[in-house]
Amino acid sequence: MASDAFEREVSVFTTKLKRRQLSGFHQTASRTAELMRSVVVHTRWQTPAKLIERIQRVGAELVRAAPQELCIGNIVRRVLHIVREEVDGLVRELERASASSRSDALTTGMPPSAFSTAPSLHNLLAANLHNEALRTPELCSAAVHEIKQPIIDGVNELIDELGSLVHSIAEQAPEHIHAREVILTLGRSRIVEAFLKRVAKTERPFEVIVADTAPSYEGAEVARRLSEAGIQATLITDAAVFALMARINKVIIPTHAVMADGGLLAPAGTLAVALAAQHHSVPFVVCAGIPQLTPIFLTDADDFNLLLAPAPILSYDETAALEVNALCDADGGADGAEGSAAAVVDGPARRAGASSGPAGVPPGIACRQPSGRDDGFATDSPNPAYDYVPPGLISLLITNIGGTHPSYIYRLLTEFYNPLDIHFGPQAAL
Amino acid sequence: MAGGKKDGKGGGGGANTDLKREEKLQAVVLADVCARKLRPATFDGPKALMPLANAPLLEYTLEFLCAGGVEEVFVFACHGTEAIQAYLRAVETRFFPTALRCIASRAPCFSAGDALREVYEANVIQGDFVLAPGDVVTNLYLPALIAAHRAARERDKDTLLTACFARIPYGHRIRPADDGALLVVDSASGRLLHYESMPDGLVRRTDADADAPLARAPRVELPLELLDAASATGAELRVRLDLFDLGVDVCTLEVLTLLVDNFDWAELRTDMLTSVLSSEILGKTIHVHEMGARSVGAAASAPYAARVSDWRTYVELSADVLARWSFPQVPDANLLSSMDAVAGQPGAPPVDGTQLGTTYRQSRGNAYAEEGVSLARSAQIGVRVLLGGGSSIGADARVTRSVLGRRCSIGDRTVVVDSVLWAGVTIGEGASVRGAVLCEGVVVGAGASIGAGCVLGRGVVVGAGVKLQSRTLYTRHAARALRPNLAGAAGAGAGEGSEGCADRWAEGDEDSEDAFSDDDEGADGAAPGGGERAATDAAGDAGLPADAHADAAHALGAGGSGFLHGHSPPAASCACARPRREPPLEPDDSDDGDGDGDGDGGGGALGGGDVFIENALDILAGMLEDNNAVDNIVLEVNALKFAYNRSVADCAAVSLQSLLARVQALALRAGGVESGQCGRKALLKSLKEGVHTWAALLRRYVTTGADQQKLIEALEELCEDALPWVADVFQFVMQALYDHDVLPEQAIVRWAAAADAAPAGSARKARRTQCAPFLTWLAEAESDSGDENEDD
Repeated sequence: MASDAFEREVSVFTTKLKRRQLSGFHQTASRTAELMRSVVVHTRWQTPAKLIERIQRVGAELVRAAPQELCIGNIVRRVLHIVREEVDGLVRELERASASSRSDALTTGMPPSAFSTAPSLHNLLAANLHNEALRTPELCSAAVHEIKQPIIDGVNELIDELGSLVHSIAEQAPEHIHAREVILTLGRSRIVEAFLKRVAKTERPFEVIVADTAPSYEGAEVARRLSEAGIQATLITDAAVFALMARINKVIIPTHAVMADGGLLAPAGTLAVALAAQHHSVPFVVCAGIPQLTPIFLTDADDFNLLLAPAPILSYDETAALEVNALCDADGGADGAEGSAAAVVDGPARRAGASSGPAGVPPGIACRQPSGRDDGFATDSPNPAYDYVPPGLISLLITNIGGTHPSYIYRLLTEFYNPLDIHFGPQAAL
Repeated sequence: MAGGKKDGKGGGGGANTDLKREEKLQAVVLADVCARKLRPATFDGPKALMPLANAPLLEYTLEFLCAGGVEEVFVFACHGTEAIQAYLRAVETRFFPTALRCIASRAPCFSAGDALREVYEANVIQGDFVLAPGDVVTNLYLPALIAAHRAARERDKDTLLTACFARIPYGHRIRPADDGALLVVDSASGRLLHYESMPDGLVRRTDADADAPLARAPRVELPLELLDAASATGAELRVRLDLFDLGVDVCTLEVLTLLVDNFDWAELRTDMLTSVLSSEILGKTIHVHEMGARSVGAAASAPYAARVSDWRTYVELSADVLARWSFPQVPDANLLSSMDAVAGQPGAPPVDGTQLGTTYRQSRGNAYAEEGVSLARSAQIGVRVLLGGGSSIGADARVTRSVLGRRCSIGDRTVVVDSVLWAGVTIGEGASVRGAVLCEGVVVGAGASIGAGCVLGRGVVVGAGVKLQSRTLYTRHAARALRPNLAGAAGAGAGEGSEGCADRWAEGDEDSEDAFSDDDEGADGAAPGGGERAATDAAGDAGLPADAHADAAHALGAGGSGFLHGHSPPAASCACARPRREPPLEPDDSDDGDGDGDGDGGGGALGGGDVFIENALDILAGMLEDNNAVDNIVLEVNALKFAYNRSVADCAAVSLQSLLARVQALALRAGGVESGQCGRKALLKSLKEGVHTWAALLRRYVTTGADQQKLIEALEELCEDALPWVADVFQFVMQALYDHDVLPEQAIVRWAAAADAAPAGSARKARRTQCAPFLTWLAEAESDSGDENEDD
């Protein structure tokens, strides 16, 4: 019964993820951690290997529901890491016990250091032996109860970390923002908002310029909230960012995820800001929690990106007119270019207005040709949710455990994740 | 129940809202009450379970409701009830915690009104509920709509319902050509003041009058009281034409009770809405919620909304889903169940609840593929493509802007463009499929070419090298097998296709009364099996009517199997665009069969089917065939007349059409079919008999001079539209009507005089010329009788 209820809980969560009723770091991370805790608490596991498999299976299910919510995978990896740590400790303890009981120390195989998580060739090779150790029943039967509570404590600590994450990042704010500085920000996030408000508490005078963040236009809401907190906030259009960059002292932005190379997967529009900041040599500071560090390299800019509905960038009324214009274009030149010449409209599509249409075809009337020559076009208006910002553009990453540089990310990754878990799950869903 | 609610209302605002919160949010989904326009696919299964972007159509509606927090959904099903029930059982867990229940119709339902009356009888609705059609695709935030309804109710406790509209300009590709309504809305309160259904629309999609879209528009008359009332209260009125009816309403319980009280209300819009708005006794108000025109706090962009109403909108909607307008209901969200949740998918594994999900991944250009797709190295996948699992695409094949269901197989060098392939479709090498819809298990032979706008029903087999004409519809069902629900109407000459189709149906249908039973088996056995036994052979064995089997043999080629169902009207075909109809028709000609014809549209325009004409033809065809007494027939027709508020002339016209269709059927049975023509002799004979038998029916409706004139007009229209054969025997029809005292000679003479004035070369003039012998005879007879009188 309990497992039924749990399955149902998981399915409600995954459905909400798929419906995008839950999205973003704050909404997904702690819920994932709570589900992981109930996996540890409620499932019956005879061996640690079983537990790890179970976590991987549930985790893969969650990740499959929303592959672009990278922090779900990260939380699962963190939990797996906690489990593995405990198991390592247990293995070490048992080995020590057996070594002391038996005089012949050579038979114990690996020295305890083999199970530390530092990535070395030796460790990678030893990993299999490690797994073997987890499966030996005599090792596990007694030990399971011993490590269960520490694992639960570990997951609870993780949940606490998620809860206090915004606060611990914001606490560092006074070190980074000085009096009379002008800060540019983009996108809406609890972390950056708290960060800026924390500075306001110090009564240091400073100014925030908020970019509009089209097409979601979250900037307006951010500016409103900041000015309510007594911060002098100015809302500008995204197009004005480059012009104003010369006046900016620091860019402080939130991010969706930090990838393994130190690059960002950040709200669409961030890359343009980062390039402008680089051009003017303005420090580009990113606020992110440790659970947003993702031990995966992006091989393609489309990976883990999400295309939203085109509605914010193109009014649905206009699609009919676009088809007409695309047709005219196709008639004019690209008649033979089959399947390749997709007319892509990015951003507001006013330029494809009725002026270029043929005489006699009123706007709003679709006239796709029934066959033959229409092979060339299809109007598309992709609306990606995220930008990839390469690590070279980032000056500083402020996490809940302190500031760091993108080139140092790999160290953090080894500290928080086990290399075995980078691709977890039965089919390695990531 | 309504009374109880009102009592609750009495007890202060706070208590009232608390009460409302305790109520379970319920929804009623009307799964295909009227789905004629999606034939022939709907012969094989309910419309609600058609795939749209490889997910059941109903799933989109359910998703919209469940994501919006509805706690209990009642799906009302009248066709394919078992299939819908099975589907709901299969997907129930996915929609947890929402409960899905099915209300099976106890009697055939033809209108939303009937359906809701049955829902009322089921006695499950407890309070305000959301009413949605089973074919709506939207990412509307439902709580916003419900909040709007609650706010409207707070302001005005007489609010009957809040209807949801999307702002989509008239003539937009997603709007069905015949959908249109003029709304007069109080802009401050959102209250609907006047509703005018305009099924024939305002803007015609023709090139000729494109620059003057309103030039040929029908006039709209608005009641003057509207303006009076507005100026009295200082309200600002808005006349809206750009509102697309989503069919999603938040209704109060009174909607159901009102519908039960007024059992003649068929359609919610044309009947209920107009009656409620014009009735001062009811004192109810209706509010309009315009999607996207919402206040702060909600998503910035307007939500998407569309409905599947005919093949054109079906294909457009598929494309929109692939272009992510319906986000998050997009394939790569893997949110919706796969079509395997619907029983009877070719090659589907048994449904066990675990394989219902999908595994789509998106790549550039909105191309989506599920796991287990096998692509040849040289296959070209273009933009906006959806590939279902288990599909395979051959070398050098090209697929663009198309949807492939699961387990499809595309041969080498085949081109698939702008098409929708349902599950298990097999296309041979070097074939070409453009702008077509191919239902489950269709097999297209090597080198065949499927023209734009074709729809091939489940299991149709197209032979190798065949070229299918544009906009033809094929089904594996022989006409006979579908007789109970279809052939009656088609035989009467008012199927939804063009006249050619209806004629073929009539012949194929009526002729082989005796021989057909074997034939059904042959055809049904052959088709799903992949066409081992060609329809031609089957037809040859069983003596299928020459015409029908010539069609099948000619069109589907050797090894093909299937029957011509008809032609899709251009405006509704899946290869959209261009003028609405091929032959330019009179502006007041109403539209091809659809569920929401206007009840108040005047004129006795025959030929197209509004609901009245369709129903009347259906009933009359059956009653004439059974030789019912004229009194009984009159009773039925009168019932319809009152239900749809039609004139006597309409009844006369419809009776005449049925009569002539029956005559044709009799002639075909008696004389057999020779090359698609029935013998003229047999025709005349049965004409005589037919008019003799049923002249009494016509006499009931034709009493005054004006009626007579209208009857002749209707007869002329029949010649031009629904029953072209009548033109050949026009003279004899007139004579028969004269003989049986339906038309007096004055009426005929008056017509002749008017026809004389018609321009030379016109059809009317030709008819006048044809009637010359009869008129001469008539003149002589008159003078004879005059003489006799004088003599006496």
